Amino acid sequence: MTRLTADDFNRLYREHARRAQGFFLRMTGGDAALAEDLTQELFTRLWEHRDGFDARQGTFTTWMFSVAYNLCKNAYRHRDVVAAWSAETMARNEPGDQALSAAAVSPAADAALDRREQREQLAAAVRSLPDGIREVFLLRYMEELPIGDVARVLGIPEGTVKSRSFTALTTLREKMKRLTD
Amino acid sequence: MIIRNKQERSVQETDYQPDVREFDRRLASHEVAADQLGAGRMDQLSQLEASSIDILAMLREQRDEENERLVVQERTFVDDVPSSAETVVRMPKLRRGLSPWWLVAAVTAGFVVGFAMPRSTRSASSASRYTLTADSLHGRSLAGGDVNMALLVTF
Repeated sequence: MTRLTADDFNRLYREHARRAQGFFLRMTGGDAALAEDLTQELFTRLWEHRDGFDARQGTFTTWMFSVAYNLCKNAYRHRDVVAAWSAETMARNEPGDQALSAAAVSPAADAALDRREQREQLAAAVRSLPDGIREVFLLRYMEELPIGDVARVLGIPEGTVKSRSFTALTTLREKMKRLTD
Repeated sequence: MIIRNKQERSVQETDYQPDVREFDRRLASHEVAADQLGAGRMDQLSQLEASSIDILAMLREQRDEENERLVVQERTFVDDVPSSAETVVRMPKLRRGLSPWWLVAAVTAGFVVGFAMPRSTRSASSASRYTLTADSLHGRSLAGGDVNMALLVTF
């Protein structure tokens, strides 16, 4: 087993810190400050336990997301705060979007705005998925991990990953259909 | 008694074996069915993923934008730098244990021992100094010598 040196770890931090922070952001329902704290906590833990990483047993990404997922579980306690934050943000964004809609004149700008709105509504739909489904969806489709790695990170069978992926996609498609109708 | 138990066991095993075989057969068929189901589910999932490509593309755009906006702290990890806790532990022993109270206690103890010691056990140098001092002629005790002795004991 090769021990990760400081140079290796610094390179991995530069490559993965943003991705991990984005994952935390989506897992915590958009709490940017919490996502930043969790990212720092994550890399501190990974650095402290770097001797436990064995490249033959799995990739750094799988290891990183396994630890990140455990941190998320602890962070779920902040859910009430996050829910309040999301509600406040949505309420604050609505007038801005309306103003933007009024300002947009060209059809291209309209189309871009429509797409942006759709994207935001889809992101909100992802946030509203039940925890177990959302975790699988984020790891499988947002972080683009293979099914086997998702199963390893979450500690669930591959079949469960597949069925939850199926449920997540079906739910999102239904919501999207409702939005476009 | 033993023979009867053996017979009973053999009868039970004989009775049970067809069930085991039946169970194995059923399990095997279930596993095949489960594999087929899994494969079928995978096919369905692949189809669903393919037809949801526009949704996934939009969500990935959103993800990229969110990630781009994030402010990630600059951080450098360095090998072999002891943590603050380790630093405290690794301080020199003398400095770690030293406090003004220890010093006062040590000096006091030195004085007590120094003064309590019989004069015959004191060093030759302090004895000779005693005899050479003018004070000795007047039969006075040598406070200075005692202080020296006390300091010697202390350090």
